[in-house]
Amino acid sequence: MEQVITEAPPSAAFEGLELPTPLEMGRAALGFAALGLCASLGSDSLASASQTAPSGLIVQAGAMLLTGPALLVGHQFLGLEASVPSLVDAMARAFVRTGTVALGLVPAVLFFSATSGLAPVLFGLAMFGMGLNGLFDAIRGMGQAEREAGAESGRTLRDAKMQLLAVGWAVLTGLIGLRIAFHLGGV
Amino acid sequence: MDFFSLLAGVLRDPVGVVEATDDSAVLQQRLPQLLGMAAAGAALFGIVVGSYRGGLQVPYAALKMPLLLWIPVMLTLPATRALWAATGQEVSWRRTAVAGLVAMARMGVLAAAAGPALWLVFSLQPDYHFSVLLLASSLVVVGLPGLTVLMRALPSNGARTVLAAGASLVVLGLCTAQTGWLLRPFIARPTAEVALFRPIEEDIFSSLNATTHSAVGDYQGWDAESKGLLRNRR
Repeated sequence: MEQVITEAPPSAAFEGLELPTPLEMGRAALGFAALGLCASLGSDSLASASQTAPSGLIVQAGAMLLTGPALLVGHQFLGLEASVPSLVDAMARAFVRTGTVALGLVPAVLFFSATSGLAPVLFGLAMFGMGLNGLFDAIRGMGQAEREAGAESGRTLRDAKMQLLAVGWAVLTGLIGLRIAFHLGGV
Repeated sequence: MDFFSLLAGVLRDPVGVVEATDDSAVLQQRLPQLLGMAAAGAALFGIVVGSYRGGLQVPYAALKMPLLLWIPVMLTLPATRALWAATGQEVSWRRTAVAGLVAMARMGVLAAAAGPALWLVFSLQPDYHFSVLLLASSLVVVGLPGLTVLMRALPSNGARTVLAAGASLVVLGLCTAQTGWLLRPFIARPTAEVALFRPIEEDIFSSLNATTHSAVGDYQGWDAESKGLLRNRR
């Protein structure tokens, strides 16, 4: 007797993929927001404080949200094999790791905010360093996702295309992040 | 393990001490000993530092020096744990705290050991600005072996861990420098009134810049402003 299949079998590319949980994403967002808020506490003026406070979350999340769709479009346009959820997962995990570091830096930044005028400078440096590291993380994650997807044949060309796409996306995201940061800083 | 065996362990095999202490029962037993090592060693170092000016500055510096070792480590531990988590290595809070505790004990003991050499220089009453720079350098020299314990006691994951360790040391260095500025004076200026704390103003970097210029005879003057959330509001 023939067996009638009423549902499509689950795609192998989606199996085992666990996107960050809402709790992890929320904690990362909290880390960025808290870091910016702590850096703003020692500001000389309310105007300066109101610009610094939300900048952590706006810069990090904003840059990634603005450039993420472009990456996905480029990925499909180049005919690459990794699944869209795996690419989103790579970006999301980079955001989560960076946000976790931001949360860990809150006590130190708060200390400087309370005792000196250095907190905004240190906040800017920390955001730059964390942003760079986050982008490298995302590039690595996306490269791995592409390597794990698709057949063995043509892998070298696909890997090269993926690296180029990921680096280009990272540069664009970094520049947009800097532009948003300068805009919030009044430059 | 008796106190002197623990002391020897902190100096010879600090990572081994961290491994053995990463257990609730052992930690409960060793906590007062490790805190005592850190506090006593730092206090002895503080006595030497305060001897430059003498009088009340001696007990004041002895009181504040343990805080100089503890506060930056407490501020940096969350960042260290987060940086390690970013490399994919989850470290428990207890492990992080024990590593920090052993690091502080090691720093305290090394600081006490460096005391006599520092006292020898201070007994010659060198220039004030030179003495401040010498104190800062001494803290770096005794601090680094202690701080590397913190890095070595946490799990390693290749190059990414090295990056996390470097970033942690930067955070720790900045916090230590600012804490030292906040808790000043340790070496009171010869003409200044001896006080437990000075007002919160400027920051360590502008101060070191001014002190460095003064040490080479370039007296530019320094207009210190009160800054930060805890600044004097007039």
